[in-house]
Amino acid sequence: MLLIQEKLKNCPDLKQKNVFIEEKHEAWFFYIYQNIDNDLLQRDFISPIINMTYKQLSDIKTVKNIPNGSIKLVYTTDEAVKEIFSGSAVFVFELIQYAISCKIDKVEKRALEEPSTEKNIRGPHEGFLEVLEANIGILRRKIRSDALKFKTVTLGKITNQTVAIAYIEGIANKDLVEGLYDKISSIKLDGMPAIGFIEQSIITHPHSLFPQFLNTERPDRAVAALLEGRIVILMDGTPVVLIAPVTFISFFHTLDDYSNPWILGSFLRAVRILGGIFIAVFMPALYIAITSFHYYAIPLELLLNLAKSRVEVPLPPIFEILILEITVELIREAAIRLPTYIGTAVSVFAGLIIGQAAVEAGIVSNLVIVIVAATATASYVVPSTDMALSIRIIRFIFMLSASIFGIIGIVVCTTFTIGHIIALDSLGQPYFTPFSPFSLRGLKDSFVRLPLKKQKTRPPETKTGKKVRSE
Amino acid sequence: MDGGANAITSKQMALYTFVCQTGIGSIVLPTALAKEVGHDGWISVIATGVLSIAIAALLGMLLKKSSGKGILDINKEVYGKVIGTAFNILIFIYLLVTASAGAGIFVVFLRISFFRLTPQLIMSLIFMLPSFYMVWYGLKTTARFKIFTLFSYVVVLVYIILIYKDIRPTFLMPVGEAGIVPLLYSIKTSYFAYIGLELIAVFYAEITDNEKALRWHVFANFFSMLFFTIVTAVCTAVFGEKFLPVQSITLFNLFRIYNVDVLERIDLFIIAFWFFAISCSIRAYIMASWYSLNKICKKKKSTFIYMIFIALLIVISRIPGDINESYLLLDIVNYSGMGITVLFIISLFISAVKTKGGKRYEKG
Repeated sequence: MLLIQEKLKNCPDLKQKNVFIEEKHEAWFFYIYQNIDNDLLQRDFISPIINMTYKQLSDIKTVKNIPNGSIKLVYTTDEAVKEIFSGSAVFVFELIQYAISCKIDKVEKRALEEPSTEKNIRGPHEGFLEVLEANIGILRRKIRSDALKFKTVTLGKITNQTVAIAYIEGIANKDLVEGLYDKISSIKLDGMPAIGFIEQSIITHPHSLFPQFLNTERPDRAVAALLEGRIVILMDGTPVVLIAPVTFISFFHTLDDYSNPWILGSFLRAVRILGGIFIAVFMPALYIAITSFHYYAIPLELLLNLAKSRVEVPLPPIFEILILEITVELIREAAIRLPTYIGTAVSVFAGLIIGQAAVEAGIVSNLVIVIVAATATASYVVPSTDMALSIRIIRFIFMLSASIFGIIGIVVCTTFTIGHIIALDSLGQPYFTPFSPFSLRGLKDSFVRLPLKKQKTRPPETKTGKKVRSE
Repeated sequence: MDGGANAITSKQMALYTFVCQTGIGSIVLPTALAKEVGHDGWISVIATGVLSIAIAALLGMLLKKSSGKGILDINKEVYGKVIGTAFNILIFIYLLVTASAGAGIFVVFLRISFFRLTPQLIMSLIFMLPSFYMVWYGLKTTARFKIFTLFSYVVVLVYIILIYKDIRPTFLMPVGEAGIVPLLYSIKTSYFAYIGLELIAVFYAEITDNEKALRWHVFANFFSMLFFTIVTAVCTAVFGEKFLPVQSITLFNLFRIYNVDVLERIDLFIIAFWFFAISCSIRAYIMASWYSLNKICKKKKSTFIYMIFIALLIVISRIPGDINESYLLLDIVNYSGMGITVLFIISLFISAVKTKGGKRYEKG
């Protein structure tokens, strides 16, 4: 008892309720006042216990008959303290060999809302919450099968957070699940304020710009991943879950691609890939390369217009583009940090006024405004914020390289980027499949999405034992 | 990653061989042949192609009897540890010099086409950087990249269709005018383009499905022959036998003849696409030499040794001062390549005789 009290000193949120069993034996209830549902505590835990005799409390069978589903016996001081801070109420009676713990925690939850960063049109409009149990419940509600399994592990030396690995037994590759479980179990951190801490601790290429796990707040996306044989990592305290193994191209997919008929879905996806990769990465670099080195590659009529537009601009193309690109990045960052109503106003004000003023001041040419605006818009179409950020950084590398070596600089950067992506893996599976290693099966759901009837097999990177869906 | 960092399939090896042969080989082959046999270069290419397919088949068959071992292991078995290692060092030197010669000529192409003022050292370092990066990750990454070069080939073939109006088949007539003897003599020049078929012997131990390797290796050489024939015939039919011998970088010049509506010039982009194939061709030898070095040293890959390897490669690539010296080095390398292929065949043959054909040896 003294040991527990010693460990719990200077914890003003802790409640120590002193009671007497059979009106003579002193005992205590410990709990964190704010984390407990007080009505339930009183009804389902304190009342039954104080009505029991010393003899009854000494009998494990009688204790287990207390009408509460989460009664647990703990035998060490550390265990008892851990239970208290996990949101349980603990009854300590020095005359018996164990303490009795009961989990009747009360967690403040927000309503199920659509994640603001992952909107969709035709799918469900709900997102995960910060409470692990609630998130597990959401998945259970959507996959009503005993095959949906969760392996849990407590992480964080100080925070003691629960992490759950969700998978569908019989579909997910068992070795991948076990390997991931081992990796997560071996994480040694004081705590994990965000799920990114887990991601960064287990990825095989921590210095890569590219995300190797897909994160989402959407339960429908997590469910779709589970059904394909992927594994989902959930962590207490965050609405974001991680999905693995994933491929490069899956960062450009959204659930709307599947909600729409296949031609519409494929069109949307193709637009996203064209914009997110080809326009967002190559367009400014090509402008720099062509205007700096290879002006002969521009058609004559366009070249004349370009020359007119650039005649009053004293800066070389790279500085022209860099000034505007950095300005766009600043506006983007400011818009995220500011409240929504101010953020929108700032974006519009900055976008219109600065752009127009820059042209009039002769800092940039008209064509550069068009290119930077198209590039910025294109980078917004990437559904994954992680991938969008990677693309933004890569764009700067391409631009710098193009400014020094022209089109060959772009070729070198492209080769390097593709080579790097090929070398990457997600949970041990090739990141650039179905392109390399080539897989015809995977290609059915890559640049385009073929009809659902044609997609009878699960993606190859999941290494699933059940290749055929609904088998 | 699944499998080791060097594990590849026989299809990947075939693509590796095809790109290795055609990436650089097709750039200057039409000019080299025009100097020797005029407009009959394409006949020489087909004749040499048949020969290279035969050699590829022989190599494949002999390798099939080697119980899945590569030439570097076989040499040690056949000649003993000391002589075998000496042969392996010779192979490493050949591969390294070939990679350097390729890198050298690549930089020369760049200097002629784009960067007249940029120092050669800077160009070598920057433009070979992706290759150094991929080679560090192993044969699997290097081989997986090759699939993207197929796009370069598609672009070239589409381009050839676009310039059909400039192709004059009469430039290829009369067929066989050069005569049998010059055509036979030109096989040596054509064979240089097919160098790269010997790399399968180096990587054979890494091929996971090596029972299919023979078939795919023959396919690779067949497609190389097809591609060389198309390029040589088209270049001859476009430039003619008089104008073709004076072209310095023939394939690039071919890319310059087409004027597109609106866009006007597209040669820049096609040349840029072809650089993927050229760099892949060089990378194949960089990978092979680095792989051999690791096999000889029997050590885990070390950053320090890799840095020395890169430095050595760049130093050798800088030995030729101009395009003529680069071609001279390439000639030396090509002759060595022929010699090395013969050495491989002899070693494999001895190994096959010694082990009485792999499978029977295993049973015994």
